[in-house]
Amino acid sequence: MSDVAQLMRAANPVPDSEAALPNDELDALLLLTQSRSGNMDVQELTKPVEPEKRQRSGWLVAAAAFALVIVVVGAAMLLARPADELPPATTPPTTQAVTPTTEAAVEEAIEEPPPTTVAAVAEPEMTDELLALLESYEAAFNDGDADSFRSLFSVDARREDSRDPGNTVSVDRIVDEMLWLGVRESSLDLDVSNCVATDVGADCEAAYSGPVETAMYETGLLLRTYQLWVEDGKITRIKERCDNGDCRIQMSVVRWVQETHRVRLIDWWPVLAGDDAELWVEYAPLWAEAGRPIAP
Amino acid sequence: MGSNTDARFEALYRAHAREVHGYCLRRTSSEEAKDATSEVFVVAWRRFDAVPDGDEALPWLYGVARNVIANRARSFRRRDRLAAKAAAHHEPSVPGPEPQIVRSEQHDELHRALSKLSDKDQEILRLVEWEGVSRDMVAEMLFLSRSAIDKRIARAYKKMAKILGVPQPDLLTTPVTVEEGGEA
Repeated sequence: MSDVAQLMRAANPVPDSEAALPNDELDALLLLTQSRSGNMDVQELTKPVEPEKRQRSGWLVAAAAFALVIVVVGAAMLLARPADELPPATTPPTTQAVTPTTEAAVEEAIEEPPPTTVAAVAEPEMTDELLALLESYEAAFNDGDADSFRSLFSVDARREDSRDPGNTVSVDRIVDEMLWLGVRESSLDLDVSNCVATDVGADCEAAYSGPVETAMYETGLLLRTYQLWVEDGKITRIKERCDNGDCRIQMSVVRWVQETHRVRLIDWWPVLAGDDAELWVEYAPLWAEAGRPIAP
Repeated sequence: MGSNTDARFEALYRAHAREVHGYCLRRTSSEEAKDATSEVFVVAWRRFDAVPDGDEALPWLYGVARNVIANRARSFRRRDRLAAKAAAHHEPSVPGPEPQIVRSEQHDELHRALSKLSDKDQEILRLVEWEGVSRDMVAEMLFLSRSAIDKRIARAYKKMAKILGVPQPDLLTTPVTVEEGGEA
């Protein structure tokens, strides 16, 4: 056992749980618990806990449903947007929500009128429009716009989980924690230099990037590892493994890879159908895009 | 609930309330710990059918306690947000363990080093070293893989060793095969 582990054990602030709760206090606490748990005679004298939580849970469900509708409608409107309303190709990336940020997004929107059905969101393909939508997560947060972020993230709002009883935290907590942590800077904390040095299948453990991921990591919601495949010095594929079984494409990672390795996201898919614990992200070199020169 | 359930609940309480209270006391103040312990068992009462039997009951209760404390901490944080945002670093605003708990200067340094870790890494170390929960069970509780737990612990100790200036073997390259734990 290491010295630090020994120190850790020695620093246990409550080495004796028995002594910390004498019998009389144990009994008193049982009475309090029973009164809170539904003994009606006593409950009248105490403030019930459950109604407040039920309201909160109901509110969360309603908020999540409302936000889902808003996002779906917004995405559908975006996808159905006439080409002449789109920003010019030279429009720089913006922090406004749901705005195409690349030239390709404009061109694809013009050439192929996208579907306007809910299915486009329910079964997302990684289009530039969806990229922009996902980027709006970070944009909203970077702008300190908690409301926007909240409404966006509410789509994924976590509700009390039967596997995790007592956990009523949700998007409220995430936003609170983000504000608390002050994680607003767009720091990039993705260090894959060791991976890029190898040829194929280099493991990169615990790579986090961007304020959203960092904040979620800080709140204990995420632990992700990335496995990068490199060909000719370029990342061509990323395997993302999510220990919480909730793999989602990480836009900061996508952007970082695209910008630093001159590649472009072409596809992503779970390793197995319905498996959300592992995700593949595949890239192609920019030169593979017909008619689009590589920027220096 | 029937009297049989009442009796089973009381048995559950008497079997584990002290450990749950100890868990809470290690993470918050004395009064908060009692209130949180009560809240944990209120949840257990409401979800009594979901409480596992045998050895898995206590880790289940620890999981509930973790959530209860996190929720309570959130309330504290909201209250203190403005003052807290001025702080240069992240300090939990939930009151720490009571001063009557003996802590040496060395322990204070360790607690400071511990506070530099992420919340989840702190929780993993506390569960393993203070509550004596096995690494496999911690992995199950936190929805992480066993290997992730090992890596997190190794990294956490490495970081703490650096902060404390304590020599530390390179745990990141040393496979962790020994199951550590045990109530101190």
